[in-house]
Order: sequence, then C-alpha cells, then structure tokens
Amino acid sequence: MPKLRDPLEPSDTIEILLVDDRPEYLLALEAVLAAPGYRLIKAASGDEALRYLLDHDPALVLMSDQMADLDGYETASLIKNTRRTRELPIIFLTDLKLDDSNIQKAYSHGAADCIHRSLDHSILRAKVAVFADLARKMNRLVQTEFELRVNERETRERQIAELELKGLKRARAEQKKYRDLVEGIDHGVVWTIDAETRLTSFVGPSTEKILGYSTGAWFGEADFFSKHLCEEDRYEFEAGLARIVKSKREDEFDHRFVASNGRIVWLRTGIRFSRSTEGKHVLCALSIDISQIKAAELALRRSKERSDFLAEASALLSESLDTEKSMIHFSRLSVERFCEGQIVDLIESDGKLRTVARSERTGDSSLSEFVDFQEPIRKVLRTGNPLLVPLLTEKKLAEWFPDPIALASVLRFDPRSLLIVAVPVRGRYVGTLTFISRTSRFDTSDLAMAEDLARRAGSALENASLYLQAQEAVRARDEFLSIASHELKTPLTPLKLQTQSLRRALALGTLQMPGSEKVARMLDSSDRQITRISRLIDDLLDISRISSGKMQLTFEEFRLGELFQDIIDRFEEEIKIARCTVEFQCDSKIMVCWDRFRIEQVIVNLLTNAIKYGAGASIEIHAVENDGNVVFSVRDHGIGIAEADQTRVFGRFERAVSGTHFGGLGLGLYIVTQILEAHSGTISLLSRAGEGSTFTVKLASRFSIDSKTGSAYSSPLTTRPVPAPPLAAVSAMH
Amino acid sequence: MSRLIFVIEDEKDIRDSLTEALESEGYSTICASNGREAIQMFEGGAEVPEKMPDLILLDHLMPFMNGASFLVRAKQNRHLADIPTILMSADRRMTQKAAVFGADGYLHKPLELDDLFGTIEGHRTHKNGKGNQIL
Repeated sequence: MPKLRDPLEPSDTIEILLVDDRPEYLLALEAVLAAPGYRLIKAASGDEALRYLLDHDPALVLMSDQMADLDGYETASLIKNTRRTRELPIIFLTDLKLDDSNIQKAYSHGAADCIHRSLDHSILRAKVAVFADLARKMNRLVQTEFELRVNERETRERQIAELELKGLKRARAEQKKYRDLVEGIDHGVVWTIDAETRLTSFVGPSTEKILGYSTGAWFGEADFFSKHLCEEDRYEFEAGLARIVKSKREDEFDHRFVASNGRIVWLRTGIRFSRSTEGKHVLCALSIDISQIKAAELALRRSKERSDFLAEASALLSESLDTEKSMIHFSRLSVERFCEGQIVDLIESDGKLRTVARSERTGDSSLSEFVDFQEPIRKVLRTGNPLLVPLLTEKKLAEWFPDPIALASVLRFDPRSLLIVAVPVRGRYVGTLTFISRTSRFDTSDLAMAEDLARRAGSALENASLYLQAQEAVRARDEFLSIASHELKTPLTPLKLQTQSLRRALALGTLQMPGSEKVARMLDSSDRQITRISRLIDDLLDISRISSGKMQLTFEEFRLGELFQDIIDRFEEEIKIARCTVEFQCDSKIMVCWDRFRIEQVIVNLLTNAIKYGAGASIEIHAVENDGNVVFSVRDHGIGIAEADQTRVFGRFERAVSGTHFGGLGLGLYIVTQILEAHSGTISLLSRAGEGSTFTVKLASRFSIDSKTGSAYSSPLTTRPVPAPPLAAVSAMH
Repeated sequence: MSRLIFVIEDEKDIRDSLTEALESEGYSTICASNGREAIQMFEGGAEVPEKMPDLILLDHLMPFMNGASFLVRAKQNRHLADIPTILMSADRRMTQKAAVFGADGYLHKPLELDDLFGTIEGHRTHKNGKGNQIL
C-alpha cells in the first residue's frame, strides 16, 4: 500500500528519475524531456538511484541498461524486489539493437518498456507522457482515496465526538435534573438519615426557608428531625419510623414541626427505607409544608362548626317567644360550641340592664355573678361598637374590676379573651352578648360571627316583642269589644226596664197614672241615656275619623271662660251625683281661636274623667294666658294613676284601672291627644296613685298652622284636615 | 214577707229602674254601687242589715271591684257565701264565664223583665236549703 501523500503537495508535477552513468546522456535526456509538469531527477549510477528511491517516490524511472558496477537490469531487479517500489514503472534506454531477447530480458527484469536511444525524441516524450499521465491519474486516485479516508475518519470522529457530547450532555442533564429536583423542592425538605445511627446524611437547602434551620444544623445530632417535632406528634412519628425500619417499606405522616423561630409548621413527611451505595440502611424522607392546607382545613372545619352553631343558635332564638328562656338556651349552646363563658344582658322596660343568662362550660362553676363586665358592656351599648380583646391582661381586668373580691373572682375564672357585641333592634341597642374564652384568642372572624348572632338575637327579641304587641293588641281589641258592648247597652238597660215595666203593668191591668214628678224623673233618665248613647257614638265616629285622617277642624274665636262655664253647668247633675265640687278659675278676657267643638270635647273628657275618678272630692279647673299661650289644667283628688300607667292611658282603648270598670270606652284621652295634636298643643299628666291627677293642656291661644304645612296663620273659620296618626299607640306628650 | 233582692250595680239609672221594677213586682231591695261597697256592707265590724238578702243581682263591669272579684270575696264571707247570685253583663261571652266565676245564674243586658223575674223565682231557696221561709 503506497504511503499516503501529503494532500497539500501539488500532485500534478511528475517526478522522473533519470539514471545513467554517462553524464552526457543524462544531460541529453534531461534536455529532451524538460517540460513543465516534470521534475527530472538525475542519478549517475544504479546505486545512487536506489538510494534516492529509499525516501522518494518518482512516477517513472528512465534508466540506461548498460552501466558500470550495477547495471540497469540489476538495479531494476533490486527496485522490483523492494516492496515499496515494486509498482514503479521502469523504462530501459538501450544502445543495443532491439530484438526479442533484449526486450524479453528487459520485461523479465520488470521493465515497462524498452526504448532505443536513437528513437525519435517525440516518441520518447510521448511514451514518457503516457506514464506521466498514468502517474498523474494514479496520484489523483491516491489523493481521492486519501481524501475519502480522511473524510471518512473525520466523519467518524465527529460522530463519535457528537455521541460523546450527547452522552455527556445527557448525563449532565440527568445530574442537573436530579439536583434541581432535590434542591428545587421549595415546598418540602428532602432529608436522609442513617437507619441505625439516626445521623443526618443529607438535607436539601429548602430546610432554611421552610424550617428556619440551616443545613449545617442537621448534622452532628442524631434524630434532629424528630427532636424538633411537636411534643404531641413525636411519639407517633417515632413509632412510625420504627415500623418502616422493621418492614423495610415506606409510610407517610402528618405532623407538626417547631421551626427555629418557634412557629408551628404542619408537615406531611413521606419516608422510604433504602440501601445506600455503601450498603448502609438509610431512611429517605420528603417533608412537605402543608401548613396552608391544614390552615384551610382548619378554617373549613371552623367555618362548618360555626355555620352549624349559627344555624342551631338561630333555631333556638326563634324557637320560643319566651325571650328569657331562648336566651338561656342560646347561652348554654354558646358554651357548648364556641367559648367557655357566655353572658346575655338585656335592657329592661325600666331602662335598667339585667343579666338574663349566664353560662359556663360544663365542669366550670367559677363564672360567678361577680364576673360582670359592666364597664365594657355599657360602653358597647352606648356606642354600638363591638369590643374584641384578643388577649386580656390582668391590668385591664383590674381596671374593669376595682373591687378586689370581684377581681379575684374574675381571675379565678381566668378569662383569656373577650368579645362583647351589642344586640340591635331597629337601630337601637337593647342588650349585649358577652363571650369569654379561656383557651383561645378571639379574632375578627369570631367577631363577625358574634355580630351575626347579635343580629339574630335582635330579630328574635323583636319578633317576640312584636308577637307580644300583637297579642296585646288582640287583648285590647277584645277588651274594647267587651267594654263597647257594655257601654252601648248600659244606657239601653234602664230605657228597656222602664218600657217593659209599663208594658207589664198595662198587661196586668195594674198601670196607674204616675205623678208629674215621677214622669219628669223618668224623662230625665231617658234623656241622659240618649245623650250618653249619642256621646258614645260620637266617640266611635271620632276614632274612625282620626284613623282615616278625616277629622276636620273649624276654627273660630270665642271666650274660653264662657266655654268652661257652659260645660260645668251642663255637668251639674253628674257632678252632684258624684258628690264632687268644682272650683273654677279663669281670666274672663281670654280669647282663643280654636275649633270650639273639639276643644269642648277635650274639656268634657277631662272633666268627666275627673268626676268619674275623683272619688267625690273637689275638682279644680284653672286657665291662664301667657305670651300668646293658654295653659289650662283639670285637677282631681281621686284614685290617681300609677307611674307605670301614665303613658298608657293616652293610648286607644286604654284605661289605667284594669279588672274594674269606671265606665266609658277608654277612648277619651286618646281623642283628647289627637285633637290637641291637631291644634299643635300638648297635654301633660302629673299624678300619683291614690293622690289624684292633674292634666295640663298647653296650646297657642290663636292656632297657627305649624311650619310643616308652610302657612303661617289660620284665620277664623279656617278648616284644616287632621292627618291620620301612625298605627302605633300615641305616646303621651309630657 | 217579701223577698229581699240585693242589687249591686254602678250605673245609677240602671240601679234605679231595676229597683223600681223589682219593687213594683213585690220584692224588697237593697243596693250597692260596686262590689267593694257591697262587701263592706257585710264585713266584720259593719252593721249588717237586719234581714239577709235572698238573692243578689250582680253587675260585672264596675269600678273598684268588679262582679267576678265580688264573687270570690263573697265566697269567703259567711253572710254572703250561700246567697244565690245572678251575674248581669252586656257581653255575651259572660254567659259561659258566669258559672266559672261562681255565679248561680246569668242575665244578659239589656234585661228582659220576664227573664229577670223568672230567674229570681227559679232561685227561691238558699243554696244549702236553709234559706228564709217562703210565703
């Protein structure tokens, strides 16, 4: 196989070795062959030629056959016997006659051709050219082969390199992936420990972020991980580890870990038993931070517990119309489900705050009546703002409970957190709910729930109150119907008795003509009954007009003193029957511009009340005018009105005396109130049970339409519609 | 001897016309204008009327002491406990309530004279049968 040529060497220059021991021949030959593309190398002997060929590769050898020492044939044989030059073409140049034997001899020594020196130079050049061309082609082939080999090798080397690179990259990627996997787990900590020594052998860098401990902290201490677990979870975790080692399997635990800053971190740790490359038993673990999941679970559980509690509390609150009973049940439920102590305070009708329910969790009995948060409760009631004290301090408690016995009592109960919310009813605050915790701190979500509860309690209270009011309204209506039938039939009873007596006497033939005195008495009695019925009907019509807003006022000027005197005169008989006396004082000059008929109703009502309830004592009537205002009062010394009933008597169908009956529909003072209101006046009552009553009326001497209607003054005989009062009972105007 | 009817009624006109009607029928009457006054007439220390009433006509709605309260108090009074008592009212619901309150009869107002006399005649004896002798 020929030696590979340098691919950079120009291969088109053909090297031809000329061998002759006669210099002139060499020169001549050189001259003949000299041409571009040939490089002619001259060797003066066979020996020199062989030496040259040791390290050169000419394309052709032109050699004289006859040379001293080593002749052409011997040289050719040596060339042909050398492996490297075996293929080298040799052309003999001879002076001998070219016969078959010579040619045979030349070929037998490996010659490619044998040419006579006398041969035409052009033929020699042509022959040499053939070999040169052959050599060139050969060279190109060799070159091409070389290049092919080089290419092939380079391709292979590249492929190998690429493969190696790929493998390397893959290995690196795998490594990186693994490293990223371990180090990139930022929601969990990867750690391994020796199963026997329990010493840490590896821990991921996320330990710092999740648990606050540096990786270094893990090493050098056996059972680092389990030592930092929450006390409550440690035993179970250790037992689990032992199970894994024994079973050589894997397991998973949820447990709490105390981070370096003391924070509790919920972890879900999966642990697998494994064997290291050194043949040691190791436990490989991944602890994932599930604090958020646990927090969400806890929030969900609390939310469910709360909604259950809310639902149950709502049901309890609306279950009964007995407010106090409902509140006691609610309070008990609160301490079963929400806190350790609960107190319900409500404002009573007398405006005083009273504790209606007080509960502590079963087993506790230290929530004594001394534990009464009066000061903060009153503040909450006053402002309506809830009070949330997440952590109660002893200082705060001492501030609220200056009495040492009370303070000791509170401290014995050991409240940790406090929550007070006001109970709203129609924009007012009617009480408070106080929640006390001994174990946990109330937060804003507890506050929101407590406020929700307070609203529900408020609705329940309102419902109960509305129900009682409705019941009361029904009772008042029934009582009114009963009284109305009594009142309407009372005047009919004597009338009917009289007519029936006459009819009976007529039928029995015992009728005697009565004396004129008796007739007059009977007619007086009949008149009274008819007047009475008429007045009752007027009252009922007035109530109907007031309810429908159809009461019209007609204003006129008159002397007040005259009206009073007229009324007193008219009731002379009744006053006498009731064994009363009337003392009347009024400036006769007082002129007023009112609805005379309606004001007369007011005075008649007040006077008949005084007669009815006056217990036969004196009745004093006074009227004065001052700065355009008239004040008149009717005072009796009779049974009086208890303080608790003083507002009620001004309502419809109301009377202060229950269980007994003084006559009348119970509408008088209500009508009085309505008439005075229509005149922009007021009525007040001063009374004590058993000491009589004084009703005082105050109104402008000349009625002028109030600012609400826009008109400043009403002239005499102006009529004015009176608006219907609200359905709610009218309160007294003190 | 005419029977004595005790009329307890706050309305003077009713009281007057009732006593007039009773007297014209031959009954004697005594009166009180309410329950409290009636009880006071027969309580210890008071000068008890010489003749005990044979029957009481009792209005319900009265000041100071109504008919129902009077019935309770009368049960505790040795003079009044056994006297038949007829409750009078304009309220029809009292028809049933009268017996509950302890009344022996009921009359609806306005009174019918035939009913009144019929009811009085229907209670001619004391409840324990030891009443005044009937003529």
